[in-house]
Amino acid sequence: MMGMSLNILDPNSFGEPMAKYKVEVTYKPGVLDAEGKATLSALKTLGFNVSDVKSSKTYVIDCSCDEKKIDEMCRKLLSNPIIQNYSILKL
Amino acid sequence: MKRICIMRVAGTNRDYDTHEILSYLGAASEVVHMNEFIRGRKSLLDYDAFIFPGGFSYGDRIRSGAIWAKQLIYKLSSDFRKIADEGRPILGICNGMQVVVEAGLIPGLRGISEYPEAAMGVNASSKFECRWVYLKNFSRGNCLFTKNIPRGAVMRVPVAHGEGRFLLPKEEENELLRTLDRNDQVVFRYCDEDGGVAEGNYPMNPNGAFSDIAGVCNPDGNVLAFMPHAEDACFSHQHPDWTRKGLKGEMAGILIFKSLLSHLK
Repeated sequence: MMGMSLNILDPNSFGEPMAKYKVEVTYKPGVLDAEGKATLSALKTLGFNVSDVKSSKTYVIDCSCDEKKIDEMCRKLLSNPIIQNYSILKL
Repeated sequence: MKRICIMRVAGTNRDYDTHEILSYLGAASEVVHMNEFIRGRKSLLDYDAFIFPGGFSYGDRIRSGAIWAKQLIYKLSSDFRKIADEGRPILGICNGMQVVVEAGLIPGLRGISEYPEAAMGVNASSKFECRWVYLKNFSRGNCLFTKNIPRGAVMRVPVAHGEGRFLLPKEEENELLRTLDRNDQVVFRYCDEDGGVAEGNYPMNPNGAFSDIAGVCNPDGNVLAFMPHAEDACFSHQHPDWTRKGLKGEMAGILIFKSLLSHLK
């Protein structure tokens, strides 16, 4: 009940309820991940027995929209399909 | 007189250098903030050519050039499409190249694409590459920005970028390269001092760009995405050897701007 009344007061809530999504953008296999490469080298320097490091960029998005809209955000801005992949997780 | 718009946003820093060169050449150029167009105080349609200069637009957040590119597409949509479709010259230098690639103007095989069809990857060296390199002009005449540059000419120009690696979709890169070559869209390739193509070798190719591509245009030749800083290679006093070699006068980079002005005449 509580959540329902809050949603009614929130002008952004019409249509879809407010939700939190985690978007993770990674480099496609074979595309140079400079951050990962540098981190791998730095960890090795510190004596850690690490064989590979991949970096990714994470966006946590609060939005009164469905996952389809988040997917559109990924395609339009957050990733470049030529070199990057993305995944969406509803929190 | 034809008007040239040098567009800027937060983080652009090569705008006034570009303006200086065009003023020296007697052109009517104006540095205009993108917001002037978004707020409707100025219109893109009032300008005859556009330059997206170098810099770090929006702090290179998300990907270099991505935010500016999407603003152009979604905020100035119809006018931006119109100037590109009408064949008005558009030059993207360094960060400007990242912008025109992210905006879907390059390679532009089917007009402006909804999503990027190429990418500017992180340099293969993982470093910010800031030094002088050699380029060879491969244009057969399609690109208007090479009108005053002899075919096969070797130019020395500086680069200063962290994400300058021009990439096409891996699975179809060779087929796309054949198309670009056939369309006369590959304008400049990184090379050695004598014009021998870098063939991916570092340091001649400073960023690992696919097929050594340093400059690439759209099929109509009116949009050039150019990674090195042409505006920093226009006069002998900008050249690292200008006292050692006693260089005088203008340098090769100025030919790109002269080509634009020849086209606009």
